[in-house]
Amino acid sequence: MMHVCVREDQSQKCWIHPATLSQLNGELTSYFMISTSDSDFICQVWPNDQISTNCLSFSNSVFKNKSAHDSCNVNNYGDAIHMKTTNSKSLKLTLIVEDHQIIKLLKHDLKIHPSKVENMCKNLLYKYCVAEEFTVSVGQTQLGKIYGIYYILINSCEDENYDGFIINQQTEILVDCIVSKERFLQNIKPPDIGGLEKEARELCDILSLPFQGRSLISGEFKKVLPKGILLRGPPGTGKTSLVKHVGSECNAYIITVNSPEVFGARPGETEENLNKILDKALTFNEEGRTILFLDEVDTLCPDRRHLDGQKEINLTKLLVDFFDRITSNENIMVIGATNRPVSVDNVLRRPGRFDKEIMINVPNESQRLDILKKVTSSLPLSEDVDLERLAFITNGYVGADLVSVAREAVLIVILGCKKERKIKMDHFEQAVRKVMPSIRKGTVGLVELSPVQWSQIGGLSGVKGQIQQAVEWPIKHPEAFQRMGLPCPKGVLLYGPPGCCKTTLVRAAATSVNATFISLSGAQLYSPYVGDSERLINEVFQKARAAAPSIIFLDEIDSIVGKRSESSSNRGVQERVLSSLLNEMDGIGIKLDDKLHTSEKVKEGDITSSKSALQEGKSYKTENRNVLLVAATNRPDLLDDALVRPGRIDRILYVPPPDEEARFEIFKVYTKKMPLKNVNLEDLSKNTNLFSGADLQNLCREAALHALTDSLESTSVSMEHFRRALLTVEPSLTETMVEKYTKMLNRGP
Amino acid sequence: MENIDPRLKSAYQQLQKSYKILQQCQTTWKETLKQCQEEIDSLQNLSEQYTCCNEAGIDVLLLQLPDVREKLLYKISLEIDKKLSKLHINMNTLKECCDRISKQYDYSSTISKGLPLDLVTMTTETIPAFADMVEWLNDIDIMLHHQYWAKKHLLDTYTVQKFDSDNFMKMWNSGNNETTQKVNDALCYVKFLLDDT
Repeated sequence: MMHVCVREDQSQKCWIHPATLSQLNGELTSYFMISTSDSDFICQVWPNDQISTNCLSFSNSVFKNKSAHDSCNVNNYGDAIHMKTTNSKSLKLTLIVEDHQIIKLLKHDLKIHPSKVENMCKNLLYKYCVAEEFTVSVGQTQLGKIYGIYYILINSCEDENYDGFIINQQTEILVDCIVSKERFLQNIKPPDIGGLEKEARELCDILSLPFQGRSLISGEFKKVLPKGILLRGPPGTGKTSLVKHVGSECNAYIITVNSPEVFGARPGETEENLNKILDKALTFNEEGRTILFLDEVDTLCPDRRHLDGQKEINLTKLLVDFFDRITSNENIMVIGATNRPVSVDNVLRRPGRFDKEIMINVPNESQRLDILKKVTSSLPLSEDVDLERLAFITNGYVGADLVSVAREAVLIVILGCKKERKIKMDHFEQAVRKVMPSIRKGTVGLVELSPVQWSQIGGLSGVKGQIQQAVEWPIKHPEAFQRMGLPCPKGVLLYGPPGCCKTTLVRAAATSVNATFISLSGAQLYSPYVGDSERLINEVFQKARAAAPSIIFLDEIDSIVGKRSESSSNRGVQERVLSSLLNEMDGIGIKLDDKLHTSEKVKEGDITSSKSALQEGKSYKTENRNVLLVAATNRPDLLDDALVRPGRIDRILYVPPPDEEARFEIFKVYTKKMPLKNVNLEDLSKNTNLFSGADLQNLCREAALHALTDSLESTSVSMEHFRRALLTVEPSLTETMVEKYTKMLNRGP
Repeated sequence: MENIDPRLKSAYQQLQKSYKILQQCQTTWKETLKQCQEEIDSLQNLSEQYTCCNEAGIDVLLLQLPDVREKLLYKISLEIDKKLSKLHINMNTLKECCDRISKQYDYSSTISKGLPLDLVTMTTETIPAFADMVEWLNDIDIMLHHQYWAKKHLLDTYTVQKFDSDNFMKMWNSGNNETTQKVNDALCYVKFLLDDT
């Protein structure tokens, strides 16, 4: 290994200390292949005693795998290997040239008198030594500037016995293709995408179809192929990366239209800018496949109905005109991306313009796993990192969020212990806690869910089982439901006397399934503006669907939506909210733009499995894109009948006041951290009939306070303190109340 | 040169020959370029005349002599062709220089193959290392080659309609100074070798 120092010149020379050269068995004017960590170079060695013995100074004019965007690392290490060279007999080349006029000229020359182009290449490559897949940079030479040729790629050398080939006047040269510099530089480094293979394949097919089997797809058919595609989906799901990936896959040049670049201050400047870009697209398409990519198309062409300015309308007109101009042109395609498809002008959303719309949704678990694999592929992972588990706990995270999680994990490692050089699962978990998924930002009612484990809830084993069945199973084991042909329940109602931990039960369920948890209360919902509450309901459901599987929790639902009164004809806001809630639960509120594909209709509560995954025979998990509504109330009789019918709220569970056994369990939970002395919890549970869970918590607190009242130094709570507390704490439930609920249970609420 | 290794001696003799040829070529190259410059000046002039004649409004004259424009343009084209063919002859001289140097480099590098490295890199007070001298020869070979082909391409693609005089002169002269400098430098370094007989 030697220090290497890269020079930016055209000489193909490597200066080396004579002693080193004799060590490497090289002689004067022989050629060496120099390999550094990321690239290879071919150079002719010249002994020079100004250079230190373990150092190479060479020019980078003939290289392989060097990404053109990165500047060379100067203080790098490399190896030099002696090459067996010969005079080249024939070569196949690709020319990378400066601009389109030269492409046209060269292509013309190639047809009329190919020897001229051959000669040009021969002159450019005079005395260069090359090998297969190497690139010769000739752009800085005098001749290269005059010819307008920037790079020459060596496609094949047709001789296996030698490592290097020196070009002389007898070399036969064949030019395979001519590519413009911009196109070549753009496609060097395609971005990695994960979980969007299906969409990428679809786009690639559309792009490359006109070039496969030319006889099959003749003129008339070409006109049928889509010219425009609209990608829609929430921000951060990889729309832009998808286009870039497809571009490099299909060797298409991407011209991006960014709205800030287009908009100008002077009147008419905006149109001028856009026109320039469109003209550029037309010139590039003469050379080969071209994609015009309109990022954030909603800002370029907003809906005209909500606008009074003239500016944006002109842009829309220009684009429409452009679409009409390219109908018979097979090389060009327009791709738009937006996260608000509703606000794109309808003129563009019809066949002939954006023919096809592809929804790119928030990634599901298997897609997230795929993304995580790609994101972490270059990171040093410790062995305990379980990406599948990470994919499971990152519900609602889009691709950009996952990248951010990985970055955060790396940061934690760097900022933490300096000796550690590997990322552990623990770091990822910390990062997940830090990074909030972008889809959850700005949603009303989204709450930080303080995790509650099932073991933290005492007693109520029967109810726990029922809730697990109603909430956990559909989300955790959707395949079982699918097997039995069961639709997932859409709504669950918990009712029972106050203080019997209905809310805690829901929290525990949400914790165990890792779903998005949205909690709505009456205070958040009602606003002084007419129509605001209904919009909010709509919005919450929309977000919940995007971040599915999710649980929407309506605590004290009787206060949010009551029963519709039969006598009064006056429709209050409560009733409007009720009606929008009912509609959302039926799935009527789903906007057309949020639907995945027209063919794959996703009904609320249905379990869908990715069809393509099944065909490929991969063991993908069945995915549940379910939104579950969980409501809790202690006045089930006040609820509207339409809400509690099967199909909306399918499961109605009674959460009874704790019985003796349950109370014992609850005592155990609450006194876990209390230092007890001679306390008989069984006795206590016997004596606390009609106490709810909340009452029991209060009782424990009172007892502890009594102990502290006796002496601040006391270290334990005794039975005596509990007895004294029992005198003051009254049960909040009464016999009649419990009876009422029991009656309701018997005949149904 | 008396007390050097006999193997190196023959190599030095070859280089001596090569650099003498380079000396000759340098004078030829310079003279040819000088001649070319004259031709190019008049070519520039003629192209300008052609454009002016093409665009000028000589209506009065045209009434009396209806085909005067065509005749004039034809005459200018003939002149341009003459200049161009002269330039092409000059180009051939340049090509000869290129080929001669290229051959000399080939000979020198073949001789060096058998020599041990310590001999090749040995320098004395008067004579630079053999390796260095071969390297300069190589540089000059490639430089001249590029110069020749760049100039030839310029002449081949010359059309009177699309003639851009400034750009043409810039392209024509680019690299001239560097090449002259390089050749001069090399010849200075080997001065003692050449004088040594």
